[in-house]
Amino acid sequence: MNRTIVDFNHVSKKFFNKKSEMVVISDMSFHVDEGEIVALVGPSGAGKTTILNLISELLVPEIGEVKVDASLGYMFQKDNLFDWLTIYKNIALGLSIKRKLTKDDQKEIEEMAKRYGLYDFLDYYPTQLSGGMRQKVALMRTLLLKPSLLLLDEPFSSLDYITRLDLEEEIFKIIKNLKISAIIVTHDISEAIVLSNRIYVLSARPCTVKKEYILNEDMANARPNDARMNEHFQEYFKDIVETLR
Amino acid sequence: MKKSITTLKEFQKRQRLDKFLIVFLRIIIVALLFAFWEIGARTGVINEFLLSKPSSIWNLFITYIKSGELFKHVWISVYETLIGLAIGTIAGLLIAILLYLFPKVYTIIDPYLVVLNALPKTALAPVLIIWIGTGAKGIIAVSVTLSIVVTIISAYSYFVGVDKEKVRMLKTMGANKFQILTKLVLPQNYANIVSIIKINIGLAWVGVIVGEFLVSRGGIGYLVMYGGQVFKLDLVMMGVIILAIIAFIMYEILNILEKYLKKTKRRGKHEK
Repeated sequence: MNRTIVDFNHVSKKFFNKKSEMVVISDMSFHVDEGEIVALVGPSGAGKTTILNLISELLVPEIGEVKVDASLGYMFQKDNLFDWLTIYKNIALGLSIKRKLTKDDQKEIEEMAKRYGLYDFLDYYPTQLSGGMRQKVALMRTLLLKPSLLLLDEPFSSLDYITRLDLEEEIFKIIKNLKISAIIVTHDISEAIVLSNRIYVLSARPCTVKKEYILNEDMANARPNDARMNEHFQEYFKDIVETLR
Repeated sequence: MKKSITTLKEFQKRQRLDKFLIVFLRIIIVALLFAFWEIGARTGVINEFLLSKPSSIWNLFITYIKSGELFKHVWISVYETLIGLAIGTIAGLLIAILLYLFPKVYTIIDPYLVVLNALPKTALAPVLIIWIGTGAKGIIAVSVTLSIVVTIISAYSYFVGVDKEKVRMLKTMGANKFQILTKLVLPQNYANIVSIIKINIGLAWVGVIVGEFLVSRGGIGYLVMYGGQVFKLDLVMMGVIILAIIAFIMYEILNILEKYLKKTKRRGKHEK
């Protein structure tokens, strides 16, 4: 049995404003084991970002317990690249917050850039790159921090469809190669099915787990493009749509 | 019908021609204005006593240059403006940075800033000059009060206006408030800070001229004031024209500086 690295134990989270309080997450329990890719699927505005903020300890729950035993790496919907920094410096951003860059860091960034086909663009500025390349730069910026758990917050939703398929494929490969875990938050059902081992379908606000899907071995281990062609894909898809309705 | 452009050479030629035409027309406008002014004044269409005329302004200008008076006055005003501009801008930005780091303090003093901003600062000028003295110091103080409040308010609102997502990202990377400031907030607002400086050039000049009106010891403001009091309108006009020219020069220097800084930034820093 693999170690549990994220554990939500009956978690509730409220927000207050002047006149009212709003329960965003109510009695939510789920877990992520080492080496897993877990998808959280729910309607827009369900409170998915709040869940990620709870995991990264930017927020604390009122009730329940959040246990996290992993170093986190974030991927956002927008690439959030800084226009005034070169690609090299953008990749190094996270590291440069933690400490001064060394010669070894520089070598590592260069090698990583070679692997992802961005080496020739290290001196470019973000505005000179396409959307898919920018998102890859964002991924490198995250991976350089050596996370053991990737938090993917709808990372593909601003990309065109083909770029998106390619990047899903690539990220899946990277996660498996590095033997790390990931939580992917999305409202795209097919993306959740092809990338993950397990899926939690969430309800609208207040957010809670409606149903958990454990994908069969075949689906879980297949690369996204193969999983999309798998005979069970349609079944899962239909079932999840029903649950969301 | 316009001939279509087929080669790069033709395109460049057209561009040069356009650029030349624009500059040419700009010069023509000023030349015509002065020509009508001169002719109007000589033929009596324009009241020379109230508006003076270009030729007498020019003669006065030459006299002032020969006596060395002009440089003295111009230097006094430029010096006061530059110091006022520097203090107002730098202090204003520093205060805005402190308020960004301690937002609670901003919430507390917000209404006072609003009142200070709405208050015509020139109303404070006489008091300031009494407190600080009738020399350059008093005049610089007036100049600073004009630019500092608006610098604080606009810089602060630029600072808090940065993309919340990017702030969240830096936080997840473990950045503290100061790192968020130096890595994101300041570089993101580079262009905004330059535009604040541009606005402040104008404000610093207002402060200096008002100060010189009150103190009346030297500077272009003094020349204008003195000219008005003794009804020497050519002196007033000369002062105003010189002011316009210097303000334009300062503005252009900043523009060139900005372009230069952009260029050096564009150079790749990562050696392969």
